[in-house]
Amino acid sequence: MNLFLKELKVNSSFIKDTPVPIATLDQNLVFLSYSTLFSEKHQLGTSAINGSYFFDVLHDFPASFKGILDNCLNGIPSQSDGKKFILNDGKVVWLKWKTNPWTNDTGTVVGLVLILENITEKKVIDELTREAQEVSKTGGWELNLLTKKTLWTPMVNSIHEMPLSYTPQTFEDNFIHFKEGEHRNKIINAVERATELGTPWDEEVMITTGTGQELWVSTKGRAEFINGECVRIYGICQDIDIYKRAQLQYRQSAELLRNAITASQVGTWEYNLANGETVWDDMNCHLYGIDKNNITNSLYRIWKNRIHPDDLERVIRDTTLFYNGKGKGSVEYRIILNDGTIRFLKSTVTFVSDVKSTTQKAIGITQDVTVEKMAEKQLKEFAQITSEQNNSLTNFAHMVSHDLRSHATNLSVLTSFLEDEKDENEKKQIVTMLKNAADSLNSTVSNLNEVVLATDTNITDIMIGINLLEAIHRVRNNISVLFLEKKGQCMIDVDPEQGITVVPAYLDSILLNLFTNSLKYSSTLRSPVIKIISKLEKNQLVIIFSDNGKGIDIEKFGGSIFGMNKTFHRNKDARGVGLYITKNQINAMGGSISVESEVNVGTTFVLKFKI
Amino acid sequence: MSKFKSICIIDDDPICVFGIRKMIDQVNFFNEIAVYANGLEAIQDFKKKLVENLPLPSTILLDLNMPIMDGWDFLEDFKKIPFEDRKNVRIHIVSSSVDSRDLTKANSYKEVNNFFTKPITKENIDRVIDEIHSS
Repeated sequence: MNLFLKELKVNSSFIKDTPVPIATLDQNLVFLSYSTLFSEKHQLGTSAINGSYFFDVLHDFPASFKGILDNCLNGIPSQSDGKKFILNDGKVVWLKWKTNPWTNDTGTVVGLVLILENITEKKVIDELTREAQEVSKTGGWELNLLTKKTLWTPMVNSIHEMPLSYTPQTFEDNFIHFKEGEHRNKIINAVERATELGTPWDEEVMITTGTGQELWVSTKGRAEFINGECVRIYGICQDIDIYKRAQLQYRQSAELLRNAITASQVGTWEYNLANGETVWDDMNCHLYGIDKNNITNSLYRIWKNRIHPDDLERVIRDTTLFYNGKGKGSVEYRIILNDGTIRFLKSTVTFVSDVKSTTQKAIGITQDVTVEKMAEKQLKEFAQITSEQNNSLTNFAHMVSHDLRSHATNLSVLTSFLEDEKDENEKKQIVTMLKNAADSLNSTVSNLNEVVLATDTNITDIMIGINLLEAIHRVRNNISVLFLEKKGQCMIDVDPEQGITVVPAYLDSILLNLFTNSLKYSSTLRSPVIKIISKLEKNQLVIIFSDNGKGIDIEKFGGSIFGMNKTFHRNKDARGVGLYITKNQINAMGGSISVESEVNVGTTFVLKFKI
Repeated sequence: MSKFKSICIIDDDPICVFGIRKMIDQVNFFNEIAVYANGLEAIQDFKKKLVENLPLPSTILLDLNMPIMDGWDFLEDFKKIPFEDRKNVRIHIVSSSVDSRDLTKANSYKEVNNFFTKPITKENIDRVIDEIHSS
């Protein structure tokens, strides 16, 4: 016994430095010796424990552990890589141990040797890890490139819907689970790069499970090198199917939405009311004609500058009204692009306030409504033309009625007088009047015919190009007698090369009417002087025809100068239907005519023709 | 009833004037007939009469569509004559127009007594004379 104790003394220092948590106990489970590591592992501090009872030192050890030690003292060794004990207070303790009885020379058990570790913390972490793996559906794997052996954690089997006993048996088997095509190729390439260059991978690919399902997984892997040679690759495999499919679906919807927005040419924008921060999408920039890569000003200012000055005030007012809860959330306005073109935009806005903070945003969409606006404008113009024509027709009907009536009346009155008249001289006079009345009727009918012809707007295809100056000279020469009579002069400043596309008979009629009007209504105080000037202006040929005649009281007659007035009956010369026909002839050829005049000074007609 | 029964015709159409004259001659009521070719001639002569302190014609047959000064403009100028000088003057429009707008416009002048559509008839002249009698 003494020898044993003596030995133990020697062994005591030997045990002390043993790099395992080891201790020796006597038959009464009293510490004989222990390693420093044992003391550290069980947090015993520096106080000596030799001679103390095991359960006094490790008082929170489970009582059931005593049975294990007792068994050992009875000659039954024991070992565990980890066993869970539940203490009286409900705490969980994991212990890992190995214990052997210790016999003296006679073979009697005199104590035991115990290697003991409290692995609770490690076990808890392991358990957490396992649970985490369960919850996150993450498994681990490794492929030993030397042995070509593959290891899968059960989770990997579970994800692959393969029996737990399965592992890939060959190198190639490791890849067959990935969906054929781009998915499998991606992984083959990733493994190649990892084994050759050491590049780790992190990919999201599809696998085909044991039941034939297709599943999205996240696979991460890295390689281990020894002496420049890749010996192992390992990593994780995570089932991300639900998340990935949701993400793909979202992406698909987002893509659809984006396509829809692009296709519908709708621009979207956002304006932060608190700090003025503005965001426009590409389409919005496009609609406003702005290069989004070259924005030099704040978008809000760009927006304000773009808006047509006549519309700006209304837009701001309407928007403010809507912000205050009145009016509607959409406003239409014109913008002026850099090249001066006008674009009609419709902007729809809604105000969004963030519950968490006080930020308020205006978000909205912009649409190009130019085509609609133009169509609307055209429609209004058509309505205007229709209304004007309708009005003309009514006037025309009344004029026809009036003029034909007056002649018919005269004819009937005169014939009845003729019947009753006895006096031969009187009869002769009546016959002369009858002849005049018949002539007037004839002239009226031919005038009406001219009106009908002049209002026919379908003549553009019979228009031809002629020389303007020649046409003017021809008409002027035709009425040279009238010029002589009135002692009139004509000053013409027209480019001899100037052409004009017209119905030649119309142009003659127009010029003739203007010439005769000027001569007929010339001033009694001065000889008539007619000036004709032509010039080019914005793709238009402008002919200015002015005289120094009596002039027209524009304020009084301005509205009816080119109208149809019931004054031409019996009096072919009167300024009644002449200008009406002139205007209609010019309009029919796509031109326009306007007049300026001052009483006793003269009259100027401005004619504009398309080139 | 004024013993001086004068009538004036303001119309530019000689045939029309000829017809009206014949009609008036037949009734043998008016002892003086004046004719003006347009409103301006008439109004200028009226002003001259007023200066010379002569009476205006008691009846006017007024055409509407005339060159230089039409019936409407004549009415506007006529209204400017002091009421005392024109209170015995009765105006009747004689026009070829059947335009309802002309009729409406004529009705808006209290100076206008009748709107006759051409050709003027015996009945029209009788009515003019009846109105003189009853006034």
